[in-house]
Amino acid sequence: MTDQYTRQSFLGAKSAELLQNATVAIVGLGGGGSHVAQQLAHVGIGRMLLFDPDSLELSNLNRLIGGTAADVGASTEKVEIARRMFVAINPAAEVHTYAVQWQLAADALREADVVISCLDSYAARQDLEVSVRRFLTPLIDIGMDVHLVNEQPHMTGQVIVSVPGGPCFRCLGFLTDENLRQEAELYGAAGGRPQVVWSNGVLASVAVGLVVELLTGWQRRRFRAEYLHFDANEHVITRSPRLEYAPKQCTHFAADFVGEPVL
Amino acid sequence: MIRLRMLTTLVDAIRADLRRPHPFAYERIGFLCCKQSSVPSGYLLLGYRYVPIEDDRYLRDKSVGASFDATAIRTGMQLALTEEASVFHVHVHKHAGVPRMSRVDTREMQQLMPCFVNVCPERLHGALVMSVDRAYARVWGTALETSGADVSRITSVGDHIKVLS
Repeated sequence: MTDQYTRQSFLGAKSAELLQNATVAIVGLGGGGSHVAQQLAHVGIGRMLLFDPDSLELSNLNRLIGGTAADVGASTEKVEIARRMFVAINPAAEVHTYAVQWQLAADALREADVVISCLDSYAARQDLEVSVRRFLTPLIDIGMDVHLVNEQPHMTGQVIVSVPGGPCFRCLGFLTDENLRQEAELYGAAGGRPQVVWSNGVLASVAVGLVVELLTGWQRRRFRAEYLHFDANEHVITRSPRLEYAPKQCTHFAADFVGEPVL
Repeated sequence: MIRLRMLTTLVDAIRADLRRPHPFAYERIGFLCCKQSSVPSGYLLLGYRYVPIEDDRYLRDKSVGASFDATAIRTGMQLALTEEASVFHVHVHKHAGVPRMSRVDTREMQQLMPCFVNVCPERLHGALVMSVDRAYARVWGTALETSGADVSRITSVGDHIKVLS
């Protein structure tokens, strides 16, 4: 183990090698994904796949890690900002960028050992989970939103792990026909979703912890899924009770339902 | 680069089956079916089904750990043909650490693999050798050199992602 990773050697004698040889994909390099990318670079992930079709805008600067005012002027692609930050921390890493919607580079996404979803709609999350499950890839989703409660803004978020074979987003009650329908009705009228850097950072940190746990198994914890709820006003993370009621095995994706769909 | 990925539950089921004693054969054999996908770095093989060789398909051959008849070979060929699957011959070496194919394994695969490649030439087919805790795989196919190619990364997906190779 090199000196760079001695402070995290408690993760296991082979942890640095496991992380170095892993391929991790981030879909969405905005406020959440940029935080995740930065931390994965520090942790020592050796191969990254970054997907986001957008370039940096002024309204992103309140939260996008690594983005600068100069990048706004230059309309720098978000994946390039993340790549630049990643290799500055971890020059030995192999970083591939895809400045397109992930569906247009789906064959590249299949190489990932873990995919992190930093998307901002239920429909997009559903599309991603349906695809990565077919390629036996664990998916970690992070997201936050702001609701008015008694006319006061209330920030909430979630971190969910969907492991092939275990309960999926639908089994966990995160994706429902109702929330997909409501979202579809608001299509085009929702505007920019409220986002702040500190709650994105909390969610991203938890996600990175789960990536490391999946890749090293250092906690020797048996988990088939995870569903953590973040009350960002109270700064408290709790495990969702939905985990208890979810089926142990997924009822939506058959275990032998793998590979490219046959149309 | 060639990757093989499967659920830990499938790996456990394969090991459990291959651990069962056979009435006279020294070891057991099965077939692993995989779906094959192209990825930028090469190929991704996704294990989805394991088919054990039935007890009465084994031959009384003391020169090898296990030998099986033409019906068993046809079972593997049928899986390749009808499911368009990449089919792996699977057996266990009873030790810890990354296993390797023995000379006998290599000789047997040189005879068996053309059967699978002939019926389903658009797929890679191979041999998967499992140890107590790790695995090794080699594949053959029309897209590769005739000597075949090692599978670079074998992982099982469950409580965590275990690297078997």
